[in-house]
Amino acid sequence: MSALSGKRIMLLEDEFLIALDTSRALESLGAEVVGPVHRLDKALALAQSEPLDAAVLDVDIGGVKSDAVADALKARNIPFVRATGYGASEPQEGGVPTLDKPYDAGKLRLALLQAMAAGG
Amino acid sequence: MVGNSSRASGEGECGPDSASPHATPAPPQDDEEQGWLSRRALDALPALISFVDREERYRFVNAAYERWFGQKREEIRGRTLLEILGEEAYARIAPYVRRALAGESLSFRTYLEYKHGGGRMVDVTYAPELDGDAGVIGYFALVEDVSEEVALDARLRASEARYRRLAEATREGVVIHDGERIRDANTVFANMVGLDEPQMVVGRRLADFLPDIEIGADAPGEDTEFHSPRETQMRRLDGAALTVDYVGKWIEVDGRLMRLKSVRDLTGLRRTEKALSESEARFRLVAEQAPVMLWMSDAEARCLYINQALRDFWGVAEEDTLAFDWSNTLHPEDKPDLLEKLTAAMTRRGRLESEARFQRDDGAWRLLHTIAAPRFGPDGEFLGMIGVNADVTERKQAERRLHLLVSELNHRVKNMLAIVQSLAHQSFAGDAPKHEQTEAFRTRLSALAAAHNLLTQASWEQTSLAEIAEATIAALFVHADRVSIHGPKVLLPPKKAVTLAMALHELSTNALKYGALSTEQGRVALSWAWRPETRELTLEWRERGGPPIKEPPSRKGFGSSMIEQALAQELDGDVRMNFQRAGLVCTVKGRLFDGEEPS
Repeated sequence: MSALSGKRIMLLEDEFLIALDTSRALESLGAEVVGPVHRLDKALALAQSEPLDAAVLDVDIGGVKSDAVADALKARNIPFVRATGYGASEPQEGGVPTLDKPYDAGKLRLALLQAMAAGG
Repeated sequence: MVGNSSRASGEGECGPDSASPHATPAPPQDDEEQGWLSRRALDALPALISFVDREERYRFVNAAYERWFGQKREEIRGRTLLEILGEEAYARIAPYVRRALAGESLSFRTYLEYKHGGGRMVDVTYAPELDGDAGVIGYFALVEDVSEEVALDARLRASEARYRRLAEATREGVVIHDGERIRDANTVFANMVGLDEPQMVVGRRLADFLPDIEIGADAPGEDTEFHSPRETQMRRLDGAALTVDYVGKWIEVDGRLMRLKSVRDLTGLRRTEKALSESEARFRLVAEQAPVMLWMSDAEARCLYINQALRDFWGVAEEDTLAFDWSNTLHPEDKPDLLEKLTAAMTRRGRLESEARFQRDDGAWRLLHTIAAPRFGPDGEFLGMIGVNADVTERKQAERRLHLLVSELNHRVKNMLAIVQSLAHQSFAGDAPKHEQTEAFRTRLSALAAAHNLLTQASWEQTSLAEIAEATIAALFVHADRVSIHGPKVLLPPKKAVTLAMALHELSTNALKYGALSTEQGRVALSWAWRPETRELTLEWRERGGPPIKEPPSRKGFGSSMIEQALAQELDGDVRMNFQRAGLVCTVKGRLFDGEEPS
């Protein structure tokens, strides 16, 4: 039984194909995908009210940083990981694990477990 | 002389009892008168005159002997040389005496330390007296005191040697003249006028070399010290002119007042000064024309010089340079850092490198990169700094843009890899035969690459919908008239262009496999409408002439996700797949936002 089994994980990703792939990966890890959402306003609404165990946030959504969503998650102590193609200078930023694209299910699982361990 | 000596000899024979001549100044008569006159003359002379016989005894001495030796001549007469002169003086003259008594006339100069009367430098002449068969009967002696003369000569020689040593040791030309002709000179002076040896100058007219000197200007005696240097022109023998200065002094040479001039060649100095002023002019020219900003400060960081470029930057007139306070143009945020660096550099006399914003004359803030180095005087004293300012505002902006661009490119490449990874996952999932999966993946990559080609050509700005459509259809290798493309010009941002290309690729692939393009007669019509005022885009993919469709496909694969979900999401709209009997009609209704960020 996986540690992510049955966990509700929100996915914010505006690139459809990547969202598709990440969803598939999350499902393969036993998680329940909330989304995927490709818009910041929708993601923010979910982050503020939806029951969530964790989240995967793409850093750059249509040229805008997803910091507001991250802040909303932090406010509710919901652990999350950042996914970025910009190249992470450090594997963690402010205690938040960073996933460097392209990533696979293994890396995704590791980052999520790390975030949940730190947050909980 | 012989005659006189004969008489003197006779007088000498008169014996010690003869009356002394000055003791008996009786009026002379005839022969006696001649003898008296001779004696008077001999006595009047300052030199010693005597007759000495073969036994070396004085037979006659003149009055000078009394003065030299402090003895009456009566006491001297009949005494030997040894008794009167003493051992030391006698030993000195004995060899000469023997030669004289042997018949030789001789003269010599020697120093004699007399028993009475001290030491004297003397010139001595001995003349032997012969008397027929008897041979040499004695000799006449003339002894002159030359002590003072010799001493003076020695002093003169010493002083002349000293003067010559001095004159040859100096680097200045020394010349001694009498107002008209050169009496002496040193080698330097000779060389200055173009001659090798000082002797070659002696006797020439001074005015030939120094025509402008006013000879008569100095009165003897009143100008015995060197006056301040006067500048004049010297004419060399070869006609060349030298700029010289000189000082003059009166000196005494051989008892005559002469003029001494010490002459200094200024030609080299003037040439150096000229070269210096030319080099300064050259520096100014270069500095003034330089496109970079140059400055020079004093030890208190005040402006001493700023070049044209920097004066233009600050809007300062050249005459206001010294009063200009440059630190007022410094950006308040950059001021502490720059002033600290400047103070540190000046304290340790070191280099300075900094970047700070300065306000230009037109009010714009410009980033200036400054490199400065300390300046030192000839004695090593710190004079201030000299520096160069370069306006790096544009360069910094370009660097920032480049950095952003590289970062953005990195992001896109990684996103692209993530998309490729996703395509691979989607293509190789499911239970289709492996060669079909591989083929699907290959054609999807091709479509992706084609879309990127277009974006690259457009520098990742915007690309037209028609071009995207044409490139996608062209990749199908179907006859061009089987797919018609119609629509107004619409520009798509990169991300939307890629998604649309991928969706069109899935539609085309489906048409080739199952739809209108799977038969010979089938056709596809792709068209779109664009309403700029609402930015609404309506796109239609209409197939006809294909195999009749009985019912919509039951299984929805990756293709339909791409078309229905991805495209809908990308265009923020609605995608409908309508499987009509005549063929598939796919309608897309979406919106393109103005000023959308490409991503």
